[in-house]
Amino acid sequence: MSHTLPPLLLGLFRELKAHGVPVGVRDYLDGIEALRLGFGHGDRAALRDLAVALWGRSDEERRLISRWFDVLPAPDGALTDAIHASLSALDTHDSDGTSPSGTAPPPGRGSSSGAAPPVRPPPVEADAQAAEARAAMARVAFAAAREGSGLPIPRLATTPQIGEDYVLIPQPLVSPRDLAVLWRRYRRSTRHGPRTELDLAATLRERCRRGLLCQPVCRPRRSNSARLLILADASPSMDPWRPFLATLAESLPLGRLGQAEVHYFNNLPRRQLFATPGLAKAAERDEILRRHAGAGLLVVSDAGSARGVLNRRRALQTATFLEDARKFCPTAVWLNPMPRSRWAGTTAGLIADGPVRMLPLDAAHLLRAIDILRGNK
Amino acid sequence: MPDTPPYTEFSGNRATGYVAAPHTATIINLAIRLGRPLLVEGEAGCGKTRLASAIAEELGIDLTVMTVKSTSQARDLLYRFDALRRLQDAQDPANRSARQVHPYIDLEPLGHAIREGRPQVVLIDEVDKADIDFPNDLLDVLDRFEFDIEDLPRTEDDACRQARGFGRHVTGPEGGVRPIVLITSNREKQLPEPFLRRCLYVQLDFPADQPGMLADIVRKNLDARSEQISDELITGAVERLCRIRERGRELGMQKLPATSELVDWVRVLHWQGRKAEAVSVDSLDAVDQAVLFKVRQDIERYRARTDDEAGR
Repeated sequence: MSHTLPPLLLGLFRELKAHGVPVGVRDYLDGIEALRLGFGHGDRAALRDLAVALWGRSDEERRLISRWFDVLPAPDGALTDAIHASLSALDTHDSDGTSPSGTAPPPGRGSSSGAAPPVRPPPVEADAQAAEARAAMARVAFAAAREGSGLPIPRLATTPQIGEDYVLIPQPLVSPRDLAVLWRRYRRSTRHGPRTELDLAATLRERCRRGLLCQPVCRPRRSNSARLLILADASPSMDPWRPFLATLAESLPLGRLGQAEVHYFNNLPRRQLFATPGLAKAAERDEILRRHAGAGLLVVSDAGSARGVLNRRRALQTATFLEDARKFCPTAVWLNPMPRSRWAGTTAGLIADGPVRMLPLDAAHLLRAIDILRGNK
Repeated sequence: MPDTPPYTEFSGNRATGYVAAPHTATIINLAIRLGRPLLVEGEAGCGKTRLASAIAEELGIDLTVMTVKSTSQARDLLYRFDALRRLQDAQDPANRSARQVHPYIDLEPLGHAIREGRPQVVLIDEVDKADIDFPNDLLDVLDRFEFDIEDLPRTEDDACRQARGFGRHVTGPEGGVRPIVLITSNREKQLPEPFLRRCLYVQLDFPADQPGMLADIVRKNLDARSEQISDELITGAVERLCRIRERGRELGMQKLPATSELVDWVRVLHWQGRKAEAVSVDSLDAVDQAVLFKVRQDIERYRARTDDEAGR
């Protein structure tokens, strides 16, 4: 069956793509199929609801779609009426039995009372006219001036509705789920613990050796024995990344690591580390390092780059700390939430030149950090 | 897939004991027609799970329910391999069936639904309770509606097909119908992006701004239990519950009373022979609080607020 549907919603789809919404061709084709099945017809709100149901998965995406419909220019009334009249006339014609199967007229379109009964055209011509009229109707009503365009266009010609366009929602840098998935890549799989898993090979050996089987042979389950120690800077310069530090701590239990702990420090891990971001419940730094001997060490700190200061004394003290820490933790990596371009000329720049790798905080470098913790230099 | 739709249209108000908003019904019809799974989210007590039985009842088809546990794996929904029974059977030299794997493989509800290929509703309840890998593992199965039994050796494919009616690769019969798949989530864990993209999404909200619909929901639920309760009591209780929720939201309550609490509350008021006008939002008694609130802190917070206002 040939589809004569116009590229409805293409502008919206492109706009979503341009905003980084991960919709694919399949989603678009599903949209076309839904339109063909009669969903989203009637008025603009119905089409918007359809687009939201198909493509909107977060509040932000739903708002993006609603905004796209809100700023569409209203169709020319006279032209729409004319198209409505001509379409309803053709619908009447279709219902006489000449309509091809599968292209049923969409529901909800009211018939225009003022339309004069047209002279019945030959069937083929009628179909072509119907398709043309529907295409024109679709362009006017929905895709309007921006059909075919895709890139986000700055639109401040009309006043945006307050409470709609300027709702600022804090977005996590990395979601707890993504972090948990990252931690799961940090694996050192070993068998330990109670013998709960059936060892089939050993059971068969036992059966062959004795001629009968008294009881199945069990072995400990495989589990992740990778251990991780996170030292996070909770000084005021790290305030913008407090939510990230909270996500970090929240994601650790989901990571199925053998052992994982977060401790906090102020600017520099001095003699004491703290159990909370509010720097309470102090514990001896060396004691903690000793307890985590052999674990991977992850340090999260801006190292002075947020304020753009160079403090040689701090750099030296940090280098001494890292040297001490590496005696206990052979693999270590530093995550700096400031972009790399801001490190030069600050304490971070000096620390980054040291033996511990300093990486910016983004998805790709987080992966790299895990890779380093696993021992891949 | 046959050209004619295998399912009739879901209107949302023909099932006993359930009323779906028109917008929800449209999305459900869209999911059915496009053959995509439907992810249902919403606050607890708003009827996420009951939506599945309402669809099954209205369309006159069977409902298969699978409740996900924290230890569930995607494979558990498809098939089960009973290795222990096989080991036990292998002890008996006369038992020749233990030489093969297929007698020890059984299809689980989702596996059955895929193989049967007949119209039915499949509910995967509380998907967010499982591990974070669970939805990803399920994605491919829900996309193609076919799966492989990995524990079954390829050499036993034909033998299994003859003896059990399914092979290593399980798929629906020729001209079969995809089941309607509903997945509910309480948002305890974030679901993976590809999974969200694959599903159509419906959010069930408490219809606080539609008292008429709320009263309908209560009436339908009570009719299903053959309980006769006056309209005044129902509308009065609906109006008061909306005010309690409003106050609860101001207080930042963890669990606001929803539809299921409303239905229970109306029944309790009826049993106690109380009138809705006699219930004051400012002084809920212990029974009302026990029915409406589920978290101790919420009860304490509400009580403190009403005491404050009364100047006690």
